[in-house]
Amino acid sequence: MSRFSGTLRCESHPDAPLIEDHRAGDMICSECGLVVGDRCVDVGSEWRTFANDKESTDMTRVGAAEDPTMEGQDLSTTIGRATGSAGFGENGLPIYRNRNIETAAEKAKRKANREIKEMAERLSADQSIINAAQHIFHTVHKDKLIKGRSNNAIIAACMFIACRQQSVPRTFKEISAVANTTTTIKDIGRCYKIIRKALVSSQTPSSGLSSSSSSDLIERFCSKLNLPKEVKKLAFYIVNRVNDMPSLTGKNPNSLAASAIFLACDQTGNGNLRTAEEIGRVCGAAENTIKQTIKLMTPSLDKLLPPDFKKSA
Amino acid sequence: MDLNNNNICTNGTNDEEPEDIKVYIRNVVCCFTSSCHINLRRLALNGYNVEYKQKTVCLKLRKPAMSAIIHASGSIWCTGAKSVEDARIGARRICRLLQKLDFPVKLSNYRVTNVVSTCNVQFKVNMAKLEKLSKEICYCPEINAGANFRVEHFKTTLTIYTSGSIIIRSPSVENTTKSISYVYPFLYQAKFNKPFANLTNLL
Repeated sequence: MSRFSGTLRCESHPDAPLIEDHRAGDMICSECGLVVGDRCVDVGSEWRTFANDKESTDMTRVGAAEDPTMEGQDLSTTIGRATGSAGFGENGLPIYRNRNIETAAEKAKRKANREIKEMAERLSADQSIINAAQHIFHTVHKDKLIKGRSNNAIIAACMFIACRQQSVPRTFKEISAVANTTTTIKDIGRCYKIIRKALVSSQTPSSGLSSSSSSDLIERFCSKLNLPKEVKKLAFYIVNRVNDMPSLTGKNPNSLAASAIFLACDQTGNGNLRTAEEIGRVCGAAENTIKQTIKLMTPSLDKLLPPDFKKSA
Repeated sequence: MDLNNNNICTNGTNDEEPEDIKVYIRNVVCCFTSSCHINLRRLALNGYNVEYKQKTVCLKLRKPAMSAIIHASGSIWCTGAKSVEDARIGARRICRLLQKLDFPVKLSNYRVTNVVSTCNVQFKVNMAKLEKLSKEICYCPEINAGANFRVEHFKTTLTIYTSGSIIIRSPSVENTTKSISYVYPFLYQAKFNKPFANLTNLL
């Protein structure tokens, strides 16, 4: 079985294609069945990873995935903690003290990442939102775009933007409820404006930072209130029609969504009735606000509802 | 109190006749220095309508109604004037006041830093449409009912409300009028048509 060239081929059939037998690791001639080469190394993957397997370690990786927010610091190696007896001196203390010198920036970033993760858990947000928020914070922190503001407000604003970018917007009220107790909606709003300006100028126009409309919120609030699909559809329709009414444009999207849901419940009847208080609690709008907004809606109610709608008592 | 009427003739892009928009100046902020150190304690004890707090003296003029914040270094900030001329008059009155208290004052480096004015475009503005028109427009209904339009070129910020009222903050009156002319086409595009003009069935 001497090989003159690097390629394998059968001696009697030099032009015959070779078939690879994966299980045995053989290269077999297709004409005569002669095993031409054996012990072929399989270069395929040793482990399999599945799409829903986020938490478990990926065995095909050698080392952790590159974290863009660390900027090359994760490529360096450190000496680990002492395990055997040789690592400890006479008095029982480790001989090599791993002085982990962390710059203030790294510390802040580490803390922010942790905060973002906690907030996401409270908001039941996805891993992709966490990653997006951490990335935004990293950008903001690296370019020192927000100097004077408190870190908590910045983190909350990053979270807000990340949720919006992933098309699952959370209202400012929800974010402030979930964030550190000292951050007010005003703080978050201010940070949001600054970050938004920076992101809009640096990214493509399709960064998805348009203002959140009430229609995005209807889906979520309706499912929280366990309302059937028809109510949801009706509320969605009402909220989209409300955009044409000048008297209601400046209103908080929370209250608009809440009033739309209330109206939808009211119109469909059939045990769908929810009190304004219930709806307000879920949507983050006061009961009186809902009532006031509905007062503004009722004059043009026939235009807000779909044309072929019949009120079911 | 004079109302400063700056009539701008803007040609409404699709309108037949031009519209006059009246711009009312609400506040003029100016700053200058007195070119001399001011003993705040002496000023606080001997001056009229004077408050001394936080290392500065707050002096309130009655006519024109303005308040001035005076630092010991001699730098003075005046706010509350209703027009640019009034601001200048007030600044000179303050310097005269200080002169009477035997400070060797010389009004220098006078400049108007901020002019706040309001106007109304006489039509209702659709916020959702307006927001899409430019990257400089920031509209967060949860935070503020108005949309903020930052015109970097004129260093002006305009806050636009659905009713058509606009609050303009700019460094000078000239910038104010220029930025209104700049912004008007955007607003006209985002004008509210008759309610429910487009009847699309969204179900």
